[in-house]
Formats: sequence, C-alpha cells, structure tokens
Amino acid sequence: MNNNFTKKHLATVAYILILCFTLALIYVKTPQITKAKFKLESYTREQNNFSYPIFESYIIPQPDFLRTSHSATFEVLDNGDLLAFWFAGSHEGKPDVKIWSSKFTKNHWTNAIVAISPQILSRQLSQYVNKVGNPVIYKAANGVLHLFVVSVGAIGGWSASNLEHIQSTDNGVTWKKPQKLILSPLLNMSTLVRTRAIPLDNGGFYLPIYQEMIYTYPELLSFDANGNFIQKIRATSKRGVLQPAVVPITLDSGYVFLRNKGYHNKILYMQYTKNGGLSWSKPRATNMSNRDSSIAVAILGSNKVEFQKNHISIYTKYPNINGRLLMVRNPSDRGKLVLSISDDGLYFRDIAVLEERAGREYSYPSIQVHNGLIDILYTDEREKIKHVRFNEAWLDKEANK
Amino acid sequence: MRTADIIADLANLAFLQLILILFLNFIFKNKIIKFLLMMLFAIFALFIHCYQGMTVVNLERGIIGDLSLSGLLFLSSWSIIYFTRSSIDLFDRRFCLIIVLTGLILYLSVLDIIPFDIYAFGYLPRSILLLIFLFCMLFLRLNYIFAIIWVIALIAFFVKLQNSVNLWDYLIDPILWLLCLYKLFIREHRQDIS
Repeated sequence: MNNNFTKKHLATVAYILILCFTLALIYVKTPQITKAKFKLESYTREQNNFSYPIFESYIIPQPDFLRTSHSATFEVLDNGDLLAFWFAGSHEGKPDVKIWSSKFTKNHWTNAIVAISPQILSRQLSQYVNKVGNPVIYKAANGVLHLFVVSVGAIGGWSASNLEHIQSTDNGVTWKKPQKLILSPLLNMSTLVRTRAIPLDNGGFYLPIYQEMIYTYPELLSFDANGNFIQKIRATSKRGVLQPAVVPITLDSGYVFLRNKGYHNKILYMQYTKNGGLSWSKPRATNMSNRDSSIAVAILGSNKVEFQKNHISIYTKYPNINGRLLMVRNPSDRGKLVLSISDDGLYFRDIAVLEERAGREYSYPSIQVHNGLIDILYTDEREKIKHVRFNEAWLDKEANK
Repeated sequence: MRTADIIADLANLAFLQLILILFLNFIFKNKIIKFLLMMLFAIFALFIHCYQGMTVVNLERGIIGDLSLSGLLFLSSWSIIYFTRSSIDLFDRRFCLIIVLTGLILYLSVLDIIPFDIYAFGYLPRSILLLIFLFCMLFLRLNYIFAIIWVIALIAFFVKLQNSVNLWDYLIDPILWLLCLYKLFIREHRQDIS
C-alpha cells in the first residue's frame, strides 16, 4: 500500500514536471504581442507624368458561358501590370462557380482563365469543397502573392464558409498547395473575406475578414513577413457590420470603414486605430449612407513625415489626414456607383458618378493607387468585371466641377 | 500526407466511429463483432473513394473541419476502455462540467454573445498558460487520462502538429464538448430517476 502511495505521488510529480516544462517551452516560444506599424505606400503626384486628365475603361474578356461575375480583387505587379481575380459561373453559390483570373498588360486584359475551382481545392486539401466565393489577392513585401478564397464544404451557405490561403512566388504563374486557415473553434465556420490586405512595416500584413454566424462583425488577421498567420484581432464591438475596408494614414494610425448588413441601418460607420490596428475606437458615423454594399477606400498623397507631424491624440481628436481619401461606394442601391473624396475621413463628398442605371448592379469595387494612377475594378451589371483607370488630374477636374 | 492532415483524418474517423458504435449498440451485443465492424468501417472511410474522388472522412472534414488532438485521443481512449471492458470512468461529472462550461464560454465569445474574444488568446497564449496549468491540475484530480491528453496536446501545439495555430484548437472541439454535455445530462437525468 505504501509502495502504491509512493508510485502515485511519483507519477503526479512527473506529470507536473512535464506539464511545467511544456508550458515553459510554449511561453518562451510564443512572441509577445507588440504594437504593429503600418507601411505607407509611397505615392507622390510627381510620379504621374501626365498633367492632363486621363480616364480609361476596359471590360475583362471572359467566356460567354459565364452568366455571372462578381467580387473582383486585383494587385499591382512590380512591372506595373495588374493581376485580377473574381468569381464567375452560372450563379453565386453554385458548385460550378470558379475563381477566374486575368492580367492587365500593355493596356489590355488577357482572356480570363480558371485559377481555382472547388474541385482543385477538394483534391489539394483532401477534404470536400462544394463552392467558392470572394477572393482577395495581396502582394507581400517579399514579392510573394497571397490569394485568399472563401470556400464552403459539403453543406451550408456563406455562413458556413472557411478561408483558403494560397501562395505564389512567380507572380501567379504557379500556386502552392492551399492551406485552410483555422479561424474559429466552432467547426471553423463562418469566416469570409472581401477587402484588400494592408501592408505592415515589418513585412507582414493585415487581412480584413468578417464573421457571419449569428452576429456579423469584422476582424483582422495578422500575418508575418513570411506569410504565416499569427493572430486574429477583433476590430469592433459593433454588430451588423462587415467587409472592413482599412486604410492606413500614418505608421500608427488608420481608418476602417464598415459595410452595413441589411437595409435597416443607412449610416456608413468608421473607426480608427492609434496603435497599428491592435485596438480600434468606437464606431463613428460618417456623413455617408451605406445600404448593404461593399466599399473600397484608398489614400492619395501619403507622406510619412507629414503624417507623423499631423498626428493628434486619440483622446481629443481622431488622427488627421494629410492627403485625400478616395472611396468607391453605392450611395443608395447598387444601381449607382460613385467616387467620393474626403479630407478628414468623416465628411465625404461625391465627385464623380462612375455608373448609374436603375435596376442594374454596379458593385463590389476594388481600388489601388500606384504610379500616379488610380485603378478601380467593379462588378458591371453582375455579368462582367469592369476596370476604370484615371489620374489625379482627372480627379482634380471632377472635384472642381 | 502531412501529420496535421493525418491527425485531422483520424479525429474525424474517431467521431464517425463514435456514431457507428452508438448505432451498432442497438443491433449487436457481441463486442468482438462490433470491433470487427468498426475496423472494416475505418478502412472504408479512410481509403475508399466514394464521391467525386473523396473518401467518407474527406467528405466529413468538408463539413465539420479539423477536430482537436484532445478530441482524437479522448475518443480513442474511450474506444479502448469500451472494448477492453475497463472500469475507468472517463466521464467524471465534475470533469464534464468543466469542459462544458469552458466550451460554452469559448463558443459564446466566438459568436459575439460574450463581448470579449477568449478564442483570440489562444493564438499567442502566454496570458492563458496559468489558466491551462490550473485546468490540468484539476483534470489530474478528476480525470487523469484527460490530464495526460492535455499535456500531449500542449506538446503538439508547441511543435505545431495540427493545422491550427490556436492553442484552443488543440485542447477542445465541439464534438468533445457535445459528448461531455451529453454525458453530463444523461448522468444527471439518471440520478434524478434513481
């Protein structure tokens, strides 16, 4: 009996030692949560060689059998080409919907090709994928392309979705094996993505996502410089908002604009961060409306020194912008797509109507600012993906009308 | 095939076998027959492509995703105890209550019903290691097999044996939670009857 007593205690001591050792290893290996810094994309007006207004538009060519196309995302490659992805098929949510891709090179779009399909994902992941949805493409500081795709397994709608992460080291010519991101303990369900990722100063990036299980709320996924997923940050306490569009305005500060879910709430809300996205302010109402439609935001005229100088304490006032914010949005229904501009992130004014036709859909814009040019891709009548390109001279002309 | 996928496949298989054994209990009394049927089912579910080049386990992973290593080890332990007629009680009432409450808080926070994100602490889990230590101490007293399972899961998290980078995904999953909830409810119910 005494022998048993000793054995039991020895086993307990051994267990506690192993447990403490394991926990110590985890403690040492786990990095501390440190304040991130945004990387400001360098943009100067001088890069633009054209002093006269430029406005061009293109339709991305795709096969005729694709009856619906939606949710375009694109990235600017090192040589200035654009690489776009969107989903297209017979109808949103059908198993025949695939992720299509096209490249904008030498002022024309190449014919669309299939990039990802549910069958490809099923085979490579060794688990059944029934349908795919919104893609988001991002080019990291090390040149690696990261493609994120919403997918749904055997059953359920978008609220049962997962997120796939696929990388390419050769500008999208070949893609590595997809990796399913585990983002929820509840059967990893209900994670979606739509808006573009934001670069960080350390080479990593934030990917804005949103959850849609019972309540809809936005989050940020943090990735390191090697493209490894690190952690998730909840961006707001507000429910019923999704598809966060993040725009950095200083190294530490940034704004996020939030799409409303449903038609009952018409106000477009924004929040700001002062610590590189680790925490966010309470939502503030802008002067704009939003009725359940995706938005795209970019900043014009970033300048690190000026931004730092203009930074004002979060306790007294939200961070100022030394530049202009551009937003593409549907002001009412999806039959009208407008370009708006703001000097402070709260008050916007519409300066150009990109599309307007009652009963049609012009929606889900994506925007990129580079080399003095502004590129916007959006869904055109739910059938095609349209691209408009303009410069700041055109923007000034429209703003001064 | 990566270790993470093997663990995920086996965990999903263990869940399917749990359902199968509950079903077989209505038909067969002989445990040897049930064991042989379970093995046959395992081979079928893991290796036979039955729909669009997918196995039963692939299809199931497409629905419920990757289960935790703790879940896999716990279901495996339960199977071993069941077939060897061991008297070890894996479902101590207080143990089940701890798992049910932990899972409940975790899942309510993910659903935004509780206004802070407990799951997010699992990504860089320094701040919850003390809590995990206390849980392990409790389990050592209430259910030593699960205490050992959690240490194995912690080691697996350290070497990133699963696809997830969140510690909670190694320690608990909805199947394990439902199983404890079921056992807790059934036991309470039976005590009420007696």
